Amino acid sequence: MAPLLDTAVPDMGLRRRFPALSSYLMNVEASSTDLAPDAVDVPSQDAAFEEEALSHLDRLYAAALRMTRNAADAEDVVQEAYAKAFAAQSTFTPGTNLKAWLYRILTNTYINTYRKAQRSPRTSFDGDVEDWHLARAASHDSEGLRSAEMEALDQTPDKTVADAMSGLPENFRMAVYLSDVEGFSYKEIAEIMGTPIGTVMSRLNRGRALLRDALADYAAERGISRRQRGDA
Amino acid sequence: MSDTAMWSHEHDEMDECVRALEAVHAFLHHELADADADVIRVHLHACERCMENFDIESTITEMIERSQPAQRAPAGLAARVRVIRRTLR
Repeated sequence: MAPLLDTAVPDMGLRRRFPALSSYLMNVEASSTDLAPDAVDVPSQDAAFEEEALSHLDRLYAAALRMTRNAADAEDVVQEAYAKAFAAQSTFTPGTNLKAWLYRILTNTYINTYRKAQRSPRTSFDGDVEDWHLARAASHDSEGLRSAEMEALDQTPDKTVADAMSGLPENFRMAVYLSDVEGFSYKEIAEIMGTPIGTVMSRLNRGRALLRDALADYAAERGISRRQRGDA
Repeated sequence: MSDTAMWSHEHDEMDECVRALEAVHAFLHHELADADADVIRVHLHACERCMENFDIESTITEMIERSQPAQRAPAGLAARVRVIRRTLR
């Protein structure tokens, strides 16, 4: 089939008016994420495994901090996750995605050991944000963020965004973090979180909807809503 | 369809907008099959409000990234992990 867009539909200056989207409006070749397993030199595999595993230490620690929200617990979870990873090294297939494999162990360690020990309730919330959210956004007449509020977004401090992230239910927060911050694919997130891809997508959509609401609330509190701007 | 009809949002295609919004994250993260992404692109060119929504979502993705800066593990953690590794050998 011939390429659909770019030629078939006039651009109408959209790329200029929506610069953040410009790269998506072209039918760009998605970068190939196929990682062909390389042949691995078996004798050096052991040392290489340790080095490569440790190369992800900073990222894993950052992820653990988002989970536990305090430094001491984050260190504990990371150490335990590495202990499990080293013990289970034989189950790792060389050439596959070690980072995702480590994240999965980290996530399981947090869920099964740490969170259980803390007796904190498992907050799933998967069913709690109803689809009216999407319908409302799609109706385009909600009080939520509009292009007029892009300016408000620009003025939103990173701290406010970080707080909004912290306020998300755990499963949503982790899905958004793994996708938007860590850049894992949906398939990798499904493996890390041990859920079907459909659940990952649902958690992402709902987490993002809650986040967007929180940012709209912030803008409204600061008087930078569309209505206020209209009055000015 | 005339240009005016394309640009006003009074088209009868709420379902299209809902479907586009359901796919906004997947679209922006290159998770859609080519054919599905093309359907979204066609809709975005026809529906300015959805285009605005996608633009906002794309901006929010950048804001999320920016709000979670890289973190360094505490000094000593790497060494402790290496000790764990040696005890397991």
